[in-house]
Amino acid sequence: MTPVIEFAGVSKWYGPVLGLRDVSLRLAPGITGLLGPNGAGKSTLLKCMTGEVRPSRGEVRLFGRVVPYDDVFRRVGYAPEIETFFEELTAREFVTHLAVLAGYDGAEAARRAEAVLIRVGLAQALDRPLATYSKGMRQRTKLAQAMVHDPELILLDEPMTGLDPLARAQIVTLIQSLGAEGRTVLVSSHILDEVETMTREIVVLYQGQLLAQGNLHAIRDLIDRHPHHIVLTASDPRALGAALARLECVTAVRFDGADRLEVETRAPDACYAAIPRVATETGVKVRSLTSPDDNLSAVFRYLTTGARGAA
Amino acid sequence: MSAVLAVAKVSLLRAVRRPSTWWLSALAFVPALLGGWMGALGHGAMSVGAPLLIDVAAPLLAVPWVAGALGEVFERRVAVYWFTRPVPRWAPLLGEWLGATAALSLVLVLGGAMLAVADALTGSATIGSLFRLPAAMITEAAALAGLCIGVAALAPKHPVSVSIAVLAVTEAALPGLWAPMQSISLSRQVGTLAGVDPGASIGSLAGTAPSPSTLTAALVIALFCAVPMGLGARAVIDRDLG
Amino acid sequence: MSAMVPPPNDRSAAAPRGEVHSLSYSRYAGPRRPRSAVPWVVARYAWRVQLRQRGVKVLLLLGGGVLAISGAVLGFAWSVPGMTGGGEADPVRAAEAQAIASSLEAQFIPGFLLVLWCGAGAVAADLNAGAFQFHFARPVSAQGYLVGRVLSGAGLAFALSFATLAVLCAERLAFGSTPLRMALTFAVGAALVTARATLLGVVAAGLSSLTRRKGLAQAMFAAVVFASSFVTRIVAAASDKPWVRALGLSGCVDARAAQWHGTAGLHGALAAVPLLACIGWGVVGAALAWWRVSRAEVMRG
Repeated sequence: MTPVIEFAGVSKWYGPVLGLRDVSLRLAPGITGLLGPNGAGKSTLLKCMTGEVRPSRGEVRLFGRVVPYDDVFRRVGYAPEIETFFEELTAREFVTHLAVLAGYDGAEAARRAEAVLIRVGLAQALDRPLATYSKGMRQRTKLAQAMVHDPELILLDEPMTGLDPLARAQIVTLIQSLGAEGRTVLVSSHILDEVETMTREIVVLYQGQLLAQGNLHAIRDLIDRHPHHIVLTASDPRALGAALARLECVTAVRFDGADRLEVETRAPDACYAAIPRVATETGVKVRSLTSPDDNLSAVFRYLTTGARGAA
Repeated sequence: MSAVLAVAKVSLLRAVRRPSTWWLSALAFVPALLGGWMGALGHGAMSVGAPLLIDVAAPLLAVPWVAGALGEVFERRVAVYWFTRPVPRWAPLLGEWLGATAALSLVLVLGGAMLAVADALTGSATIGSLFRLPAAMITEAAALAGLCIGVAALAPKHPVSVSIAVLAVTEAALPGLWAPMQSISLSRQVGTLAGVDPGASIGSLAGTAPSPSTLTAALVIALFCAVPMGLGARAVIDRDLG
Repeated sequence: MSAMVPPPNDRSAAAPRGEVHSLSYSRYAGPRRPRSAVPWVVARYAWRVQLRQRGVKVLLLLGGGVLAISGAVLGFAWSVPGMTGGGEADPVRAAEAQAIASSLEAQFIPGFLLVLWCGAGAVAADLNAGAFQFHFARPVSAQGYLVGRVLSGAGLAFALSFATLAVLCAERLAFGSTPLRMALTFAVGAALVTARATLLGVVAAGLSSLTRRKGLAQAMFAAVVFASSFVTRIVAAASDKPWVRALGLSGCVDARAAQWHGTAGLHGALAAVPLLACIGWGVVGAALAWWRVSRAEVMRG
């Protein structure tokens, strides 16, 4: 099956500045988070897909065809990170205009524009000039114009920037619904929590290079250079800790307060399997078991720290 | 074609809603007022007003109106909304040109018509001159719109200053240095179409070149429009936009 | 324990034994630039930025070309006896006047374009970028800022005209003018070149402060320069009133130059028109800029 997005050895230089370095990746339908710190090359990666910038080397394919070609934009919706529009227009006029450019006749474009603006929560402000819009309303308008022509692939560059928590939750729900409809959604962000709430599929860029790609857990499992931490609250942490310390998979045990202990391991799966057995054998009651590492922040920290160390 | 018309329509709508458009438009009527006044004093409305309209008012109206506005669209990257639609990249430029030409023509034709009427009321204008100047203003509007759009696409960070620099060179510096270079002056060619004495408009150190024919004038005006537009279109097709 | 004392400014001095230095905040007590240096600081920074821009380099190159051509053409004309000033009672004086007129006229387009590029949008760009708060959060007065903006806007245009004047005056010395007369010509020329650049800079700053849109400010400046010149020229020719030409932004300085040469044709009360026009343009430009900048919405101490 042809991947929706395919990068083959793509590099991009802006004069002496390196934007992307030999990036090769393939993405299938669903929501994917594009992660990386500021300046990692996220926007350049998206711009390469929309033809805004041309790769200095390599090629980008969307739906199996090398971009840029005009017709691909029938199937692609793009919300750039810029905050400006044709400020003199209303949201309805702006989105209708872009729908007309996507090939719909005036009446159909107007109908679609209204529907999509209502879907993103701008029903009350359809006919207000865009110049009067707040940051949150601008983000919604960008989403609306990206969705108005019902594209299969939606590229969202920092769609949650400047939004309040309530608006963020609404946009996350909206993006999740787009993914659930079977579309391919690529969301760039440097805020890990918001990506984590949307998807477990990630692409991590760092200093223009592809650092990791795939499922969050699978990536975590691949990071065997870094020890994994498991935090337990138990009725007798010292007894449990002493028993766990005898396991081959456990590299260290630390006690934190009266009822907490932290276990360090390089074989998380084996350790997770052993903990219930040891608890039963020692008769210690385990009240909670969490891992501070089993989230995107930790994975990202490990990956980027590793890359920096390697550099 | 529908994409071009859609961009033209939105271009007109945006122009109408910008407050600066309205007070810039007032510039087109100053020559008629001044011409009418001078005509009433017996100095000839057309000889004063037409060069002012063709040489000064029209370019100074077109540059901020067209180059300034489109330059902002490129510099702030709003153009990305056009270029991520299934239309060729030259289509939005053509649409902008169409919209700008229509808006500029409307204002300049009105200004020209007012001047022609002032000339008719205060002098001995023929019926033909009532139509000739407004018609010439349409060609100037189209040429200036082409120049400004081309410059905005080529130099999006400095569209106004580069447009004014180009006009200062083609309209004042080069024609003032060497008479044959007057043929590259847009205002001189438009003056020929309008039937206005070009000697009145160009303060040349090198004398005045013979008046070009209508055909030559039309050709130069067309090139004035087409060359920058072509270069601008090529820039947006070939160049990185981000 | 010994008393807490601030760290010594002179670090080379050995600290006395048994003293504890306070590492808390202590106000800088060293020398500071006087407030009168603010315009130079604003202007110097702007010049550094301008000289890195490709457009400015192109315009300076154009101005350099004009200088070279003017120098060559006039040098050739002055080297051939009777080629210039033939009809004048005093051909040497005519040639000296030509040196001044050339430095004003030949550099008008490059100078205008430099002011357009560097000065006509400067205050508008600051307004748009919210840069006022960076300027006025420091001990920078509105006057200091504006003088700096006028200097930075007109500085390069002035340099071009001044260089042309210097080259042409040096050439005149080689072609028979006496040093004393050339010194007088140079002084008058320098005053006129300064007046032209200052007027362009002040009007550019004034118009630039009326809007946040740099392009619009630049267009307004071009409109004022060209429309005033064009209208006054046409009206003067049509109504046979040469003093009207002296009302234009560029015409007023040209008329002052012609007055020095004695060819202005303005007599009696009309002789004051060029000077009054120069003052009028300057006052209007400065008043516009002052009115807008002094009302800038920034926190003032």
